[in-house]
Amino acid sequence: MKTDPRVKLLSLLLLTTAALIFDRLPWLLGLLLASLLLALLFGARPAGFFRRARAFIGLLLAVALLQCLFTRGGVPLLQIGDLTLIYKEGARLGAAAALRYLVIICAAAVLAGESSRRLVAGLSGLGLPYTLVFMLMTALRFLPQFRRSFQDAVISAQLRGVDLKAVPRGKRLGFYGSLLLPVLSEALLRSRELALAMEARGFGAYRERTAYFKLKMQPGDWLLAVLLAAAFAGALILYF
Amino acid sequence: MIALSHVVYSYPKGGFVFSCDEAEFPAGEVTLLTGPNGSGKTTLCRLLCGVLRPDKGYLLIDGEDATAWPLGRIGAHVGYLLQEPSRQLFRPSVFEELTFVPELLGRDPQETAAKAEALLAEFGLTRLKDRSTLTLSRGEKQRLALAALLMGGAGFFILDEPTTGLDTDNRRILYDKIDELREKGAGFAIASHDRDLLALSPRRLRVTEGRVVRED
Ligand SMILES: Nc1ncnc2c1ncn2[C@@H]1O[C@H](COP(=O)(O)OP(=O)(O)OP(=O)(O)O)[C@@H](O)[C@H]1O
Ligand SMILES: [Mg+2]
Repeated sequence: MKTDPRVKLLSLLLLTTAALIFDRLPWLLGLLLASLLLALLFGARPAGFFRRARAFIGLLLAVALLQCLFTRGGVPLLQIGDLTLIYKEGARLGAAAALRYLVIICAAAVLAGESSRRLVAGLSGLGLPYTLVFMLMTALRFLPQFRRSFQDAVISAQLRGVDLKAVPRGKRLGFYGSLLLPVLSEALLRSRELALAMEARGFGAYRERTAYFKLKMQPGDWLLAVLLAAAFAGALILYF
Repeated sequence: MIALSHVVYSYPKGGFVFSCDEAEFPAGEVTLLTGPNGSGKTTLCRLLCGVLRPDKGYLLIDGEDATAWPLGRIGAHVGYLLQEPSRQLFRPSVFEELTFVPELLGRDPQETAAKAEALLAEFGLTRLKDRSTLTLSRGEKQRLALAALLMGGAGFFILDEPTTGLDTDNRRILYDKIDELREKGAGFAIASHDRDLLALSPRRLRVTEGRVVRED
């Protein structure tokens, strides 16, 4: 039986909240383990994890390194001559920061096996207006296309002779802003087309929407939700 | 002139392999790229302007090995007109679109403005000077994108399906423009299914299933 998407959303919320609260390494490690297990339980594929983790590894290392270098004072860990490069506290904070990001990335994988149809049903089941949910899902679906349009913009700007690294500092913001214009215009165009097409098919003609597909929380879902909430509360109590 | 020499390229996903022993694109000539959908014309275009880099072989620009040049440097020689012109228009107004890159590069503003005015007139865009680029028609967008390419110093132009979505008049304008630039010494590589374009030049490369064959 598939778990209700609302339970998955709940676990995503709890995991990321915990990641932001916890500060001690063993706890963060435990949390990482928990999010991996939950994601697997909810049907994410392990291969997807590794791809995702690999894509973010640069960011993780950068975060850890910055924390490491900018925490000064305490017990020295790495010294070059007189200069202390890394303190023990810095190393700990760096590891914690990287772990925290990793947990958040992995936690997002709990939604990986979910179809947009079930998510829409789940979100509107939570009482969100359907139009809002619909907009959200549409935006998500167009994301890859916007990314392509942004990539095209970056490429053609460079081909017009702009060296990305040599853009004068004062003009950088304006430059990158300009690259977003094609994306924006495409988004406007798409949404106008979509709105017309939807209206032509009678979207919003009746106030009450009916749905072919309704989600119902099964006893197992309730149980899981309660267990998750209890585990979260328990962990918080133990932690403090 | 640009050329590909012993080039092999395969997309990381999907398994499509493009290969080309020798293909030359001389200055002052229009080279047409023909071939069925999915045969690799766009891939060839992207290889010619460095958007894709060959796994093996070389991209030569005016005899120099440009295989590893940064895009900014290739762009000084080669202009690329995307199939979707709105993806290469960055500024809110038509005039700014032309002056944007030279300004960024710190060129002389007066010269830039004069050149932009001249190009606007040449491309029949003067009356649209202050219009928003968002509301231009397809033909106008395309002319503007081409004019913007001419603001830089490029002498070679790659056009991917430039006539799709253009009416007869706008096509005519584009053909004339291409021919005029060619006479001034510009080189073109044009991927197209458009029959009328075939009249523009006898030089043809046919692409089939990722292989390039000379046809003239
Ligand atoms: N980013 C990509 N990743 C993987 N495969 C790709 C990618 N882009 C194109 N291909 C594949 O490469 C092949 C050649 O595509 P290409 O776009 O070069 O064809 P084309 O000749 O321009 O076709 P058309 O006439 O439809 O524009 C196609 O089979 C296409 O599916
Ligand atoms: Mg193509």
